[in-house]
Amino acid sequence: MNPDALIKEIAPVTDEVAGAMVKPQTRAELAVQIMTTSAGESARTAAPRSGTKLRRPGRLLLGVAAVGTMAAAAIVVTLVAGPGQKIGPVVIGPINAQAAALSFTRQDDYLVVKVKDPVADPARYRREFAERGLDIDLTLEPSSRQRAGSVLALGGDEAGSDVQMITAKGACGPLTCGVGIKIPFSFKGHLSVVFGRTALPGEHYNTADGDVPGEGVGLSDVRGRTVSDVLAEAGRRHITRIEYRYEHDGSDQPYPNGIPADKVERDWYVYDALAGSDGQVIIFVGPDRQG
Amino acid sequence: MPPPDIRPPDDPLAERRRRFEEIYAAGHDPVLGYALRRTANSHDAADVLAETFLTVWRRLDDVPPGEQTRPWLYGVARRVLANHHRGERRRLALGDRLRADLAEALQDVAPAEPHPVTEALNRVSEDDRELLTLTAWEGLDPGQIAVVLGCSRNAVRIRLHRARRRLAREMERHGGAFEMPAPRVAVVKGDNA
Repeated sequence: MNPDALIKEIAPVTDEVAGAMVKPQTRAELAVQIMTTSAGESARTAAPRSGTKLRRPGRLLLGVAAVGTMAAAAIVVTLVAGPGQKIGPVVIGPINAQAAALSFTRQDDYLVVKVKDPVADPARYRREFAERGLDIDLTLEPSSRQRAGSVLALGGDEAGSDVQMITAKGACGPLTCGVGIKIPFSFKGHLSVVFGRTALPGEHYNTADGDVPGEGVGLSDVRGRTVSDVLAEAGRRHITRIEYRYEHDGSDQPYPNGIPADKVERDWYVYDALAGSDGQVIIFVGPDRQG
Repeated sequence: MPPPDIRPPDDPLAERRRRFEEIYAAGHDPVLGYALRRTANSHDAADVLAETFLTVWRRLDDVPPGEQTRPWLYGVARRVLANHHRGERRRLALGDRLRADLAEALQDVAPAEPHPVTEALNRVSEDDRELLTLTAWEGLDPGQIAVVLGCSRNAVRIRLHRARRRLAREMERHGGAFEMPAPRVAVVKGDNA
């Protein structure tokens, strides 16, 4: 047997098997998400770097090294616990209550910044960072409890690529997510960071794309229910901005970019619901009970 | 069956989207397969897929047509993966859902049994392994591998010939049961470099 055939035999997966690992709606959604990023921008490298301006949380690339060497001294920004919120993995010493919106404490080689008031005006955070010579825009967006305390989006100028994400497994359900950021003390650039905070009652989530299905809209357990049933529940929850994605036999044809609402039949089935940005909901539908 | 949605043909953004969708439809499984054959880490694989197609979207005009598209995609995926191996991981928010899907799917995949060919492949250099697997797993010819690696077709031929010889030597040394004389390998493949 020639070596190619031998090597071929030990291939861990075929393209076909790999493709089958991705759910049809995930496949369709990724394409849509990519096409909503700014087009025509020429990327010089395979991996687009920072320089991105913060637009909407979730539409932004986290252009940040999650691992790598760091200066010994750094600033750690994590979200403090609020009702039902998660804290970052950094153990924090006694709180220095010198600031109302943020607290800054020194721990070993780190300056630990905690958000004391998660619903403060972002200008207050900015001012308190500025008092320490830092150009950091920190905002908090309403999210599910699982996403609260995690980094939803991160952006900034070129120096932003020196910022590290502190990740914690399991903090966002099956996803690994950022629960804080580490910024070198030497950081002179501009940084924007968006943390999730637990949404107030009735408040729409504004989380990253790819949030836990249905979570963002309170439409959990939608799978297998009819369109009219799910719409009735959405109505009760005052969710009116709904987009549809079509699925039939594992394909999104003939509606690769979503199916218009007036083409969706009330007795069709719902396969999934996804939190869109701006309180919008994306519902995956099709005529068969099984997607 | 409802009629398909119709977009005006002269809209440049629509044209861009159409071309992207075409490349995505054809390239999704091959790029994901490429990644999953080289990493068992669902996060890395998801990022490779998302970053590769983000690059396609941003550099749509640079993507070569026809037969050259797939090797070009592998070239991008290869650089993303290399960055990951260097620890320069870049988390794309848009890969979240994909990561969840892959993590779930990979849970059910049994770890590969030790195999003499795998072991031999692990002992040759990374460059050799790349050439050998691009040939056997992605089914690329030397011209297409040249697109992936950004070098000449002749260089690929020569390096591939040597890589095969070194692999055969590794297998003979450790595998015993495999009879694969090095000179024949080159002749069989018509590689006279």
